[in-house]
Amino acid sequence: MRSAADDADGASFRLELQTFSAASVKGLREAEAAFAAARRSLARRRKAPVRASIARFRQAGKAWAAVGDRGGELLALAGESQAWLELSDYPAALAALERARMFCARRAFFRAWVANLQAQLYLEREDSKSAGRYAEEAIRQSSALSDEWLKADSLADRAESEYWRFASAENVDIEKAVRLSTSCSCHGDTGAGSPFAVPGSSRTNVR
Amino acid sequence: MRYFVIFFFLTAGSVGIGAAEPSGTLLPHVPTFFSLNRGDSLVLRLDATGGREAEILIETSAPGLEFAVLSPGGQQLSGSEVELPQWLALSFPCAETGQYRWLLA
Repeated sequence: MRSAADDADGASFRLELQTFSAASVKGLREAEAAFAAARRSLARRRKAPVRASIARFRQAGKAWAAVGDRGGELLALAGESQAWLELSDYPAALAALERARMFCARRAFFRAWVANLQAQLYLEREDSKSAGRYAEEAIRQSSALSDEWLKADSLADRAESEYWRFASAENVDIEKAVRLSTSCSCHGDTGAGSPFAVPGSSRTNVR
Repeated sequence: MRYFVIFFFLTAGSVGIGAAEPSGTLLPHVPTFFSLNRGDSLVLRLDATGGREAEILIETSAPGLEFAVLSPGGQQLSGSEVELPQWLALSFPCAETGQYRWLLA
């Protein structure tokens, strides 16, 4: 088997296992296929396929909801949010993430993960104050979870929000983020763990 | 060089894990983070008690990786290639008692 990781220094993985009854098989398969198709459409980054991905994410979310898979529903909503963001529809993107937060009540990791996405979304909106607030939340929670990958992402988001506010802590946060992302084999791309990080793209803001 | 991550799934009543030593446990509903250097291998245990079907939500930082889930008898139950470095979902039946393996290369 060929591995793209052959070209990299390492890789990071995050996994969550869930178990279901035998009656869930059909729904799980449908959701997984729709979710994979949605991700492929979204990655094309053109208007029509991105729009099509929204319907696919919703199909996946509906199928996951039918079998009680809250983690799946959450991922489908995060994907939908990313699609709206690609279409520059910030209110719809935020609304999808707010719905995703509803599934985070007893899920500490996903609560931090969604907070990080919200920070990134506000950065895209050039609302550095709100971005900083959500990045703080994500840093606090990811630190408690010892999730270096997520913490590196969150630190990078806070650094960017500080950059836009001319805050002096920017460099410190960037250094921490780079150090963490190197140690956890995130390839130094502090946005790699985010559904908002589309392959081949990066945020390049000019102040 | 490849990565080999081997996840051994131990259902209720299962026996030992075999030649490789486990280095961790993957618990249901507990997102777990791993960081591997090139060439690293990892063995995880999972108690999938009570389930007939299992689903793993997976996030990776690199594309092009391939997964395969093997039954206790060695049959491939599910497999996928990671096209994008983000989330994917992979389900497979886990009703059989014994050691399930998930290979990542």
